[in-house]
Amino acid sequence: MRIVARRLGLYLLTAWVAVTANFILPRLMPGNPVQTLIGKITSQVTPAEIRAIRLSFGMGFKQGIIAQYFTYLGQLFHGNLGVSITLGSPVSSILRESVPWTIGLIGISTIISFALGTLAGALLGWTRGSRFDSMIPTATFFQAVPYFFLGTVMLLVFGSNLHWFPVLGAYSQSATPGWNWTFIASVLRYGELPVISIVLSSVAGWMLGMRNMMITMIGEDFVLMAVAKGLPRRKVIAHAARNAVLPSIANLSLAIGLVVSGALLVELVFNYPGVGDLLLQAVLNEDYPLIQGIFLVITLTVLAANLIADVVYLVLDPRTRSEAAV
Amino acid sequence: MRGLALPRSPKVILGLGILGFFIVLTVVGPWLAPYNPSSTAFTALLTPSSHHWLGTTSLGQDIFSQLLVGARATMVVALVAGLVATLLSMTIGISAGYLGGVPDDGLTLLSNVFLAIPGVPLLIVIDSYLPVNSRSNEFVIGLIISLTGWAWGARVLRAQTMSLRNRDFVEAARIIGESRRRIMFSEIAPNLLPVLASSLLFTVLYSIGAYVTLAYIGLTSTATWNWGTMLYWAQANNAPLSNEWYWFVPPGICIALVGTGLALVNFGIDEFINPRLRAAGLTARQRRQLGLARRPRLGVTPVLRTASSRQPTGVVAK
Amino acid sequence: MSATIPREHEPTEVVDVATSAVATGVARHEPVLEIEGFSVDYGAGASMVRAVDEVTLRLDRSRVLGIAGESGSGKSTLVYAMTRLLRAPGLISGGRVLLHTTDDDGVVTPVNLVEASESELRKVRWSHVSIVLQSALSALNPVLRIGREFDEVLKTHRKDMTKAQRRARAVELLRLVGLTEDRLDRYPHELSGGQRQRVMIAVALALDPELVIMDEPTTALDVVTQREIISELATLRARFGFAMIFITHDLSLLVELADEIAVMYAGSIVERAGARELYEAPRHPYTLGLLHSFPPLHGERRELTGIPGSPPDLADPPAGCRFAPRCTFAMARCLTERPTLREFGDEGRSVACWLFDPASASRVPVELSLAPSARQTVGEP
Repeated sequence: MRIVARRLGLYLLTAWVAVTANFILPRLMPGNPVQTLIGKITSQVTPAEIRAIRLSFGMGFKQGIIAQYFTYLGQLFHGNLGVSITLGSPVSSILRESVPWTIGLIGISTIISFALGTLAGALLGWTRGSRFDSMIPTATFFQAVPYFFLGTVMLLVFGSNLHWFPVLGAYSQSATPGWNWTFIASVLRYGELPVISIVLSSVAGWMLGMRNMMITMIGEDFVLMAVAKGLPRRKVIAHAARNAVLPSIANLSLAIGLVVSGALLVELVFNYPGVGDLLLQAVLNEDYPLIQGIFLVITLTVLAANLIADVVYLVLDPRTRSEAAV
Repeated sequence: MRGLALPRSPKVILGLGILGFFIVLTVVGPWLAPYNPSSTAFTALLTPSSHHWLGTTSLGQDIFSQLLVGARATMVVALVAGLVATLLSMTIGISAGYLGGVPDDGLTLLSNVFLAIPGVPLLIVIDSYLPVNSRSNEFVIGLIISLTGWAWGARVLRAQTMSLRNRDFVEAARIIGESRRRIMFSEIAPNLLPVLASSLLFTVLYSIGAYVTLAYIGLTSTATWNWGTMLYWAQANNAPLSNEWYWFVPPGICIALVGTGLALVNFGIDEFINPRLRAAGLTARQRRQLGLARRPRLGVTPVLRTASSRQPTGVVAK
Repeated sequence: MSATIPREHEPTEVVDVATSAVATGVARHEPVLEIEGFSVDYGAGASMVRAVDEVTLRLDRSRVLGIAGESGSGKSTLVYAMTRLLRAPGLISGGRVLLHTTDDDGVVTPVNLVEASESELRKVRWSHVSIVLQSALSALNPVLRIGREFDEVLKTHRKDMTKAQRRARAVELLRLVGLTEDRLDRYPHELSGGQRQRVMIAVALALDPELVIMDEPTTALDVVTQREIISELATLRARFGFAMIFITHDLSLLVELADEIAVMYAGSIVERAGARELYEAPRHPYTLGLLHSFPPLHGERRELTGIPGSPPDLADPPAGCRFAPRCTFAMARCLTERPTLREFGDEGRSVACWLFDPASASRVPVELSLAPSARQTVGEP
């Protein structure tokens, strides 16, 4: 388990870097961000609000920069991410509402896309040289299309023109949010098109990666041995695929970051009530506490996903397990 | 030192063709544009016609001109970001791999941290703090993008450097007493050329995506024309829902095509680096010559029916 | 238990010497493998290379045939192509390969592997012919436990066995090669090189095949382990009576294990003889050179001289004898005319060399005209 501990250490360090970046960035920028912010708020600013804004930057009091930093860390530790300038409510409570939508949407899309892509990639690799190879340029094209653009096209074609899917939002206005069937069914129905968009944009990446690994694995002796043993074809493919999938999982850390970045914008296209949509609003309104809060939450979630991927890898590859035991 | 002779597969040729086209467009695009892309002199929301190949925006700007002019900013940012990021990857990756020990641990940790932080959200945070005049500067944006895009290449280059570190030619250079920097950048780096090229293509691909994303959410100057700002204005004016496909589809397709070109060339480099990926054995033409009905499958070595008439000196080729 | 697997898996600690001796004795002159005019090419068109050129071989039941040659001589290509396992761009361009399979009732059916379909091949594979590769580390799936290697073979080919029976059989096989039961739950990287190769041998014997192909199984091991495994193989062969093809570039290994040896050079067999005869009295100049390239595992030390030059480019082979450019005894005829494998006087052995052709009117060099007993002197037990 030493490997898991080491990875956990890395992610804690990464989280600290992200937190610290949030602290340093406003101070690197020209001008006083607090004044800039207050200047941006059009309505009357109460002293309490000014204090909240200062606090969210850790600039609440007349302190040295080190002390400011610890005040800032302490605030974070208590879950205090400051107050949103435009929405007026605490950033943490805003995030509590939108984060589940994002995790649900991106999590489900990623699982579907990984499973489909890996399966298709394994078959493409196995049948290399056949007519299926002609799929590669098309797949590459889908890999290169920006997520939000594909989402927009899907929305336009299948949503507003063909009316196959409901568009905009995460559930029907007529459904009451809660644990009732009408609501859950509505959520699933509204989720279809965003999920399909994200899967279509990300599946080709998994597929092409898996194909290349599969081809490399088929060149290995143990796959030839599986054939020599007279095993049925599907078992031979399984031998190769079981090993080929390992690098995909090892590279998940890179991929999760890219998928999340892309998928956040899909939320925006579909007006999905997740953090992606929120982030755009925050950026447009220059709502810095909210931007920072969203960045932190996204980073922490991605780190958690990385940790899960690491554990899965450890379970699937006995070689890393025994290294950890040494 | 081995050169980079790309396998001449149709995939690579297609990729190079696409890239070549867009590189030419980057250079000549702004001169080819029939109108000033910002000029609002035309009727708003025209559909495509012989005067306005892609119609006009809701402000009466010529979309085709925007597309041509926008190619330059998009490609320049991608190229600047790609080059700087690859330079960073190269310096950090090769140093870590060659020096080993504490420098390696430190640099590896640094790249792992940058790998774990999701790049685009970080970019958005950094960019949202930038003053407006920096946002319209392609070089500033390119530099910031490169900061979030170097880590993957550094990791790959580090691994490759470690595999070269104890090779004879490096050993020889050490014995002659060449400086570390010279060994790293004059002896090792040229041998990593295919990996470097692949890393460059990858970061250029990432940079285009990142830049377009920033522009799309309005974080670059909306006065600079690039394919992302086109999409931003199209979205802001509800072009997708109003069925004005000619406004938002062309820039999206262009982005995807450049990406496809990069990825296809990368395919060729992958085949160069990993010989197993090269079309092993018999090409379709050879198979036809031999009268083999199907692609050879693992575990069923094909048998030539006309075996007895074959000569071992390539008579069949005629 | 020559060709059937015992249905009840009681531990067979005591070898039924009488039965296995009878079984092997009866089968002595029945062929298990007949290869005729077998050719293998790589690629097609102008870039074509003939890697195996009209090889003819016969292997009788329970016999061990050693195939020796430098790397690139076509020895591995021959056995992989013969079992149809050769990867692209390899293709079979002629000849036939008859494998005489014996079913549970003792009925012998010849199967032409060159004509066989994929499903026919699948039935023959491992049940009748199994393979051990040079590197057991790469031949074992790195992410599966050793037990799975046995289990999947038995599950595929012995459908009536229960899980417990498969496990018992795996334990029994492991014991045969001197490993304990706990190895079944290990992963390949947790075993030593010798242990891994023993596992491969045990897996190869799982279905009691008539023929086991060993492709340099000991090359990657240290000399001590090499010796142990060779002697274990000899014991196992005597006990179970499988025939074996043993590929190596080290002739001295073969003399311990093989009944007969075929020496390959540039895609053809250049000499074939009984193991001891070939070792003690080589006839082909190439065999002589090969013998001088390796120290014997035991016995007298010879001066290692090796063979000057390198094997020919098979894309553009020399016109006459392919060994002629490297041969110290080459004559004018050798450069133009290609010798075929023929018997020249010595009984039961053949050689492809003009030196022995009476029509050549040349004197056979003294190194190549020894009688088999002449070398049997110092250092032999």
